Amino acid sequence: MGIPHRVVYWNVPDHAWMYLPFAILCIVFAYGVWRRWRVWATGRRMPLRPWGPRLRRLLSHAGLQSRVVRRPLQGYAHLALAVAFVLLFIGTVVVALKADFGLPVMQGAFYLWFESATLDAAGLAGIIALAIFLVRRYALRPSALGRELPDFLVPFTLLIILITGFLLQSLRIYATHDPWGAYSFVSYGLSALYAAWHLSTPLALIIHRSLWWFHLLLAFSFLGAIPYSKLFHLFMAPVAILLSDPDGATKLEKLDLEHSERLGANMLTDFTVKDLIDLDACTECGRCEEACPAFASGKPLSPKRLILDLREHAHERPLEPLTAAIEDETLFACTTCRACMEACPVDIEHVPKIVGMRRFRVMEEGEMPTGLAEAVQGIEERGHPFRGAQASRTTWMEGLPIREWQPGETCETLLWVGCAGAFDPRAQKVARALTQLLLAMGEDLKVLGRRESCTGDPARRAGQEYLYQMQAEENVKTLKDVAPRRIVTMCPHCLHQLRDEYRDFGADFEVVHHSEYLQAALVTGRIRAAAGGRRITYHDPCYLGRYEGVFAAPREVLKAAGGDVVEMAHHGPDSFCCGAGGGWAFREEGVPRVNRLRAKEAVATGAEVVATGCPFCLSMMTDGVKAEGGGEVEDIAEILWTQVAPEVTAQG
Amino acid sequence: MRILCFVKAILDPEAPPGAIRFPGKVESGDVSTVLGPFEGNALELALQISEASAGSFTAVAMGDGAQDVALRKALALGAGRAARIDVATGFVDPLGAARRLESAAKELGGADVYIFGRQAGDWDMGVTAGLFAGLLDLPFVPLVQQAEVAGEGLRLRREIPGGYEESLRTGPIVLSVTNGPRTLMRLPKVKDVMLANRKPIDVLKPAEVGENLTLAEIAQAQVTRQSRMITGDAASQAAQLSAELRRFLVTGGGN
Repeated sequence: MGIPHRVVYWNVPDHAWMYLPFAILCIVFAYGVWRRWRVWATGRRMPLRPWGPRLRRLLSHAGLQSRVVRRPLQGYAHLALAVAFVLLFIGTVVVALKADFGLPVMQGAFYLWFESATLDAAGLAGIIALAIFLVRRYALRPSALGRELPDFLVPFTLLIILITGFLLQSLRIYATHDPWGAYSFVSYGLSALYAAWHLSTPLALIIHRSLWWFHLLLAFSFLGAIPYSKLFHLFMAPVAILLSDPDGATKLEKLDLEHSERLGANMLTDFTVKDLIDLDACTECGRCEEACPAFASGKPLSPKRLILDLREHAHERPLEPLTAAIEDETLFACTTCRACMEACPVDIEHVPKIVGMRRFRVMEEGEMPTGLAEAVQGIEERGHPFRGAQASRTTWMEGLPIREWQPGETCETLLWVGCAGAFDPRAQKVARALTQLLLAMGEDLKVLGRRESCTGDPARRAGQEYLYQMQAEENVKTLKDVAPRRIVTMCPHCLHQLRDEYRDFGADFEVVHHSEYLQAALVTGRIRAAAGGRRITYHDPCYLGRYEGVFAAPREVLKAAGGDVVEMAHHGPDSFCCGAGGGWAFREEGVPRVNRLRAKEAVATGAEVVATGCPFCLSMMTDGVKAEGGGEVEDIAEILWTQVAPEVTAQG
Repeated sequence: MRILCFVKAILDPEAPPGAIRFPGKVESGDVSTVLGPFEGNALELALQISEASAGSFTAVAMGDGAQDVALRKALALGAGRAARIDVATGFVDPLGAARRLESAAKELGGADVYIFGRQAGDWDMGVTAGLFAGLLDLPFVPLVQQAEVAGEGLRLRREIPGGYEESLRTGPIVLSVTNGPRTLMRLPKVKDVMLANRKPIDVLKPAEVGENLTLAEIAQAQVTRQSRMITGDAASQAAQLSAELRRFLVTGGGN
């Protein structure tokens, strides 16, 4: 039998003709890539260092497909298909090395165990995966998946390529009585069927040769279609992952207001290279759409549609303004909750694009939805977004033994109350509970009072970067004067600004959310809580969880307060927005409201109390839970203070 | 068309109760100064008329440097020029104010259309525009909600009970503008805001006018609050509320 091998092009004497369609494929492919390249090339360059986190994410998200497999059935099917095609590609290269370059690489044990057995297993896995995809899309019919012609052609063509591959191999094994055929176990099984059917050898040869050309031309057509379809994600998804912001793009880019040709994005050239590559990396899997609170509540925004509309615009009308592609209503529907970005398997960054386009609409065109415009005007005129507030910055603290910081004083712990804590009657109670907890811990506590002003976060998310920057500069200046040892805040939006986004304005302060600070105090025994026993579910505020990565601390505080913590269907990084983000806290919302959708989940847990750690979530969840017939909604500080107060009293 | 739009910045009308105190004089504390609410309507209409007639408009304010807030807003919205009549901010005698505005209008070369907000948001008198029209011997249309350029003149719409009326005027005119769907002030573009912050504001010397009215006294109302929760079932709550309201109507709220 000699060294195990097979003869390439065994039944295709005129195989040299294949270089003609191959040349056409190369030209078509190259043109397709160039078409897209010329769009990417117009994008703004962005910094790439440090590479370490980017490469780690590439390995995790592209190599191991860690986000894809969060949905196990289709996720592992996708991973299997991807691995199968990498193996089949290597197998094809090995064939080319032997056939075109005469290298003796396709023989011996390698031939038997890789080229035969492994590739058969890969082909079989690919067929199973594709069958799962087709059944899911066309039998289970999830709404997030499209069912246009290309959605069918892509998996179906791949399936035919794999099936014809097995047919070719089995016909060869049958006709040549291949002594090593059994290693190709799938094809070998098929060849046994031909024997059972008494397939004549001449007929087998004719079928083989015809099928060989069909398989080849179909495979070349498929490859040629890659740069013209969503298949391009094979190449662009890893690039999009590699270029994605290592910090998850939670920080918005600081806009150069003085020197920017345009404020915000309205032409493709206003986007970064990453933004433009994202458009071609989209696999249309629909996970962003499924996670989007705006889409779930019937607003005119689907993150997937947004990316696809931008992709179409980029390739069909690249020189036209983006106002022609994306409506204002779509942009202002976004709550900036980042659920889409967290769900995206290929790290497409939706929110920075949306805010970028909002910036143009707001700052260059003067467009802003009613309610939001008034809130932003409030920040401009009186330093807070709450219209008609009956309180001053210090009303909430009347009767409490704390005072405003005065120039010349040192400051150990600064409580950054936030506008909600100061002006919203419900959040004022949270500020009082938190203050009492901090005083019970013996903190040397001060507040800024009249010197505190809105961080500008609602303005920035709305697209009013100019006002935001003025607020940021003023606040950083104030905080540098105060120079607190640490800042504690009860507002995740303020936290995100003070801790992260203000760094672009020279801030470098120790800033903690009250949940983190209270948890640490409980661990070190600075405060003790009496036994509780209520069943509590915790709503993760987007700006605390997905933006700041704080998931455990609030839950630990609730447990320390004796709570029996139960989780909602969506929690942790997969949490569902309350509907307040992106300036929606100040707008009139249609029906169904996002907070009702979230409140339904909370009520379904059977919890007596819905806890949260954000004054805006508190407000939205209070309305939602009340409408859904649920129990109390409280901030973690209130829940803890209820359990700590008796201990403080007992100690005298 | 040459347009003069008179604007005024006032102490924030949304300041919480008690933030502005007036024990003998106004103490504003930390309350910010903002563009008066009806001046926003006036600016919007001035902008619409100037756009429709391919012209520009001049914004005029009267008071100290705090008025620059209003003038910067006007510049950001598209005013070609801004001027401030430099007087101390305080109690305003409407006739004296109208005379100073008349003098400033002459100094600025006059206009075809003089636009006011319906009333200043602080003293709420609403008569300066009418007095100004009288001093210039010009027709005056108050409470305008919509204006269209019609040939050489203006077509002005006002709301009346159950409908609207429109008047036509060719030649100089004085308007006061009130809030309405067509006079909602647009958002200025940020580039214009940034440019507006660098534009000059002309300072005009005030005309010497005699005082017609002086402020004799200013005092704050004493507000007392008495509240209690009405509890019980719905029928009981309704009965208690009804009894409470009857008592209130009889005693005027006293005990």
